[in-house]
Amino acid sequence: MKRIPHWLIIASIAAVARLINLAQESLWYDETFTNWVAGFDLRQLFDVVRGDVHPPLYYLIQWVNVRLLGNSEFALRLPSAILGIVASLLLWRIALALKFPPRTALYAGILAAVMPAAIYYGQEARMYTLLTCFVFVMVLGAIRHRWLMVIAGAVGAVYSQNLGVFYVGAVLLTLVAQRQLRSRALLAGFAIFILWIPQGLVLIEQARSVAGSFWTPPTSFGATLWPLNGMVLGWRLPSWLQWPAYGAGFGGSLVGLINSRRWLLNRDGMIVAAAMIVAPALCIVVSVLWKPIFLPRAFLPSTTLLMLMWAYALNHLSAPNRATYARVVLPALAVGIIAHYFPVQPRAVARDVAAIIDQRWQAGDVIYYTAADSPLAFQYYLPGKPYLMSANAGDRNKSVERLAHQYLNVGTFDQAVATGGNVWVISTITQLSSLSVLEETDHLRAQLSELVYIYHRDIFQMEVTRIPGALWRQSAQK
Amino acid sequence: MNQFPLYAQWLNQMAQFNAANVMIGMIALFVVSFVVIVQLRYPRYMPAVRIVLSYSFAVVALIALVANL
Repeated sequence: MKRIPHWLIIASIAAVARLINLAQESLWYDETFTNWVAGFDLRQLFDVVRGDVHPPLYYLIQWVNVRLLGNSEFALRLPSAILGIVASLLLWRIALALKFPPRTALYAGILAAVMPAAIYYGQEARMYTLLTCFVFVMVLGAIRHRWLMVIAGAVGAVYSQNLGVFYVGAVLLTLVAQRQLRSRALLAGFAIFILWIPQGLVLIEQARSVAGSFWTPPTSFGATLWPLNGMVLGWRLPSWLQWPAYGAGFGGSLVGLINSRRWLLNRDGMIVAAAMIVAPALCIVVSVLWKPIFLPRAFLPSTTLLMLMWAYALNHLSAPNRATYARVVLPALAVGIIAHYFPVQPRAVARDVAAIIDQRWQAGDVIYYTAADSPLAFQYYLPGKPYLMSANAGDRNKSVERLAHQYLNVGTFDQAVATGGNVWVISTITQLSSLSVLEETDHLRAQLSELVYIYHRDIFQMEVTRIPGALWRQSAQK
Repeated sequence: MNQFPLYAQWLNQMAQFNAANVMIGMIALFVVSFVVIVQLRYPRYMPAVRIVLSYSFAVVALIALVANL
């Protein structure tokens, strides 16, 4: 049999892993936000992005995408899936550039293709696989001393996600530390800085408008260990399986780190170490010294790079140790993959809820949202249905609150009732809900209403109640 | 009055989750250190350690499942 090219094996596995159920799950808030932003004209798109916390590149890609392929769940998630496949191939190229034997490089590519967290974000209409691709282009360019690749990757990274600056900073520091590369690295750094300035200015504006109310929890030792576990094996495992799997995965990374010292501490390996370890470490330092900004999902590139160490250990430990290593990490990886496809908790429930509402919808009905983060998620599945969002809707995530009040239909419950039909109250409560949202939800729950749907998961709670307009008006008259 | 009453509750949950992460990290670090020491200092015991490790994931997962039931 003719030998199958390694790139084809990796691309095929990555494609199947991502495309097999791409549109199966409902979109969640962030993904519907992507769709919402991509629907604007370009001038408004930039206005909205300035009021949010992310750079524009991913939204521009989606802007083109929705005009070419539409805004179905499949179409919205397709760029991430393709970028996930590209990221797996780039990791394989990085392994080859590090002079790994072809078989080890193949393993690295396959591990990146099936890593549960990489599959998850390869199926999410957000920018994390885009960031991963650009970081990998930068790392590959740095290893090969292709400075245009370094600049393109770095600029792409900082325009994909604001935390991309930590990858750029870490990799550039490593290059500047090497005397023979210093002058060119400084020049590349200068070019990247100049090209980053427009987004840098927007970033200052974004940071000011969020005004210290970004939702990430304070940084702690455990919170920094989390990406090493969850961002590799995913967090969709049942709770009882989480800690054995995370323990096995973390142990696997530690052994991989010890085993990889042979290549990790050389000139090219240091570049990988910069993106894999120094970038999150820099972000942690900033989070401790300034404000909590450590967002585990922005470190998908770092955890995907861990697969280089896993692949190296699976091929370069002594034969008996290698077999033992495989028996510990591969089952953990397998349960992570199975848990991804058969999750304990769904990504979102908006589509199911919308179907229930759609079925019983009558002419004259109106939807009333108590929270600022629900209208986008539900209006995607209930297009054209009249709605009002509570004027009291408040959210700790100020960018969500401000954008919702600026662009969506805002009103009061009385105005919703006055439209004459039944009122469908959709209440979502999250850890970021303001007191006014909780009070209004409690108040409406106590009224003459029919509970149509309820979903609970820890703090997150979603309720749909149907308030018959005629009954409401009768009771109000009495 | 706290404008976001559930946020504090969430932070508390996150703190517990992070504490569990630290524990998992420490256990993994301990096991890996143990294995490295055995490999370097007492290599003749490595076959036994490898057998234990080979089944460790399955055994720990089974114990966790039983404890959960």
